[in-house]
Amino acid sequence: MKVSSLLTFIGMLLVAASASAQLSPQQMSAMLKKIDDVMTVPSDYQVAYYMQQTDSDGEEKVWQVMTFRRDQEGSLMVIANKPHTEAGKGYLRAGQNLWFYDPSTGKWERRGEDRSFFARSSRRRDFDVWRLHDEYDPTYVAKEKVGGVDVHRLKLTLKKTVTWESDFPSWEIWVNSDTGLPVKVDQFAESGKLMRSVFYPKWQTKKHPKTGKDLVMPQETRIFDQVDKGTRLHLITREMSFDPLAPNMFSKAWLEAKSR
Amino acid sequence: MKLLLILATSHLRRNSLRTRLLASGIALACMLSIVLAAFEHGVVLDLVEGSTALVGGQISVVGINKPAREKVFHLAGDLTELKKVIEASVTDLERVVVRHRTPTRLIARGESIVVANTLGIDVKEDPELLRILSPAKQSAYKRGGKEVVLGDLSRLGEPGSIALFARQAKNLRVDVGDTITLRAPTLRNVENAVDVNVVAVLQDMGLITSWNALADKDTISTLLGVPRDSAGLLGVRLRNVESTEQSLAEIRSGMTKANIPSLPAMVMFEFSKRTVLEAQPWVGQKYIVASWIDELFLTNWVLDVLHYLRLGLLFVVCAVIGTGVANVSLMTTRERIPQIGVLRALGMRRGKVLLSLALEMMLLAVGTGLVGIAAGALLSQGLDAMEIVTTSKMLVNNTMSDTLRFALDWRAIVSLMSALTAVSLIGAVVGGIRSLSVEPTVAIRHVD
Repeated sequence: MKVSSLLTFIGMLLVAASASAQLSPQQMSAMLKKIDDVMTVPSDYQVAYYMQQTDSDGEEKVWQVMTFRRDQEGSLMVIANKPHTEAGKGYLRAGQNLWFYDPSTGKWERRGEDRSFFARSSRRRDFDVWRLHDEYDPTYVAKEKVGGVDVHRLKLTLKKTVTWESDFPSWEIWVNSDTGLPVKVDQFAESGKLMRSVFYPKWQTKKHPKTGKDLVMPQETRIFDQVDKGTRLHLITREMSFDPLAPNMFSKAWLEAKSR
Repeated sequence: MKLLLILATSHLRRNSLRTRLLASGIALACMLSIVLAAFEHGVVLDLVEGSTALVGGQISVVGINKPAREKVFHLAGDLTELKKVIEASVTDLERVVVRHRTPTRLIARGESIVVANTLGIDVKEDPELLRILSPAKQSAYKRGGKEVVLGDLSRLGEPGSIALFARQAKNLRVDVGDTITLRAPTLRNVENAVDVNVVAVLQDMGLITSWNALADKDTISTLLGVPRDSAGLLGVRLRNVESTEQSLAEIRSGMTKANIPSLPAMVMFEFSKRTVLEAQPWVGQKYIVASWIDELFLTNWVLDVLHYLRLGLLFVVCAVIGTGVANVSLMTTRERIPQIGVLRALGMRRGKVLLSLALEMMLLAVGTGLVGIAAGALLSQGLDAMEIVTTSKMLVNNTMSDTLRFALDWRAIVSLMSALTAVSLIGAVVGGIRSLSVEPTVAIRHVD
């Protein structure tokens, strides 16, 4: 066999190997669906978050917030407990609208998905189900290693058919090829400017007490603001519960009463 | 009549010292009031010209796009048709300026501020705006900054450029040449951000400039994710500010005929407007048609204060002159009682005697008043020509100009002349009636 033929053969083998490593659109779609699925709770759900924001000048701010979800209805409510100055402030998603309530003024204000959630760098999705499969079209970028872990790097582009609000029109997501869970996410603005880099160093798995479904939630999230460089946010999940919530809970009246 | 004039002037000449003193007082008071009225009118003109240039014109037509009930964007698509309608409707039109006007968040060096009106402008289309803006010295916005002006406002035409006001630059801790990030939701309601370069820092001109920043129009189109020919606002510049109300009616009528839906003016803060619009059930595209008085409701108090200041000033001047004239009139009529007695005995009617007294007061008050007004007008023109630069922040903030302007106001001159005539006539009549009540036979006895 001539040397040139051998080289061609080796080249073809390499191409074939890389093609087999690359995920098909169906595989990518299934991967996103799996991420959404393991984060969707089949019952009422509440969880406490501890957030620590460190500004670029070193100043720190800490929040404790309670998140209530009823994923079957798409309901979400997030209320701040601490610090004292923020206590009673809350967000409520009703239908496709996200509302913010400030007890100091007693007024409700509609908030866009582009707005922060208590901390400057956080967004609604950090407290909610992701719905990546419904909102984004994936394209494969490469197979890489992040922190010694094999990952699939995908580019997500907001579907043109999405009529509801979304936070970032494009993402790059690094998914652990073994667990199928995200390791890192870069989120971009419409102009292509990198806005946030989010790392998920720890995920926690919990079996649903009634259905037995394995649920996976980020136990720790580290968000790096790429616009306001140096500002970072550390989210820690605590005190998860699947106990039933009050039927009328996801309403403005309930949040107002709770804030009082 | 000639006799009456002779009688009036002869008496004035007889009491030359008193006449000169009073005449000097009246002339001085008139001169000062004209200079102050010119200053007040200059402030009003500066404020109106400055603020209308900043909001685009005496009338603004702002596009409100609601893709869904609770979603509000300050946007319109292609404004060519609306522009044609306005150009065809408004009789006193100078021209129409096309701009973006949208709320954005400005982020730099760990600081961020919300600017309610980030204007996307085309510098070639907006010469008035560039004319009223002055660059700020570095010391105005940077601790330890030099007394020099950096940057160049004409560079605002460059892609990705922004001009900030001094207070914004101070809050964001940026200088000319720095890069900052502009952030806003797009029409699809997804987050967008673009990096822009600070090409100039401008002097603050009151509260109004704290919620305005100027950026290149194409940059704002990119930020909002809309085509380059899109805009959010049509600024209607009129030849004469007095025709604002009429032009408003013409625009509304033209839009109705062309089936372009309009909304009434909303006299409130930008964020309050958003809340009100979100609560309205309609969806689609409409336009808020508003006059500069509606848009600048927060600065209207300055105009009101100046208006009442002018009225107060006129009242004080009239009171001073009126008191002087009435006093002199009483003294004059008392002194002229014997003369009046003789004239009445010779058969002169009461009316003519009264006219003689009025003529004397008119000659004194109106004549010297005219001299004072002329001197005041000359002084105002001189002061205006000197282009005095003020360092008073209060004055600059409320007038939107750092140069004192003295503009003659014919309404002030006419008001002052009318008031002078009325006051001198009243003074003469009050004194005259008192002297005429004395019988001629009694009056003649007063002859020395």
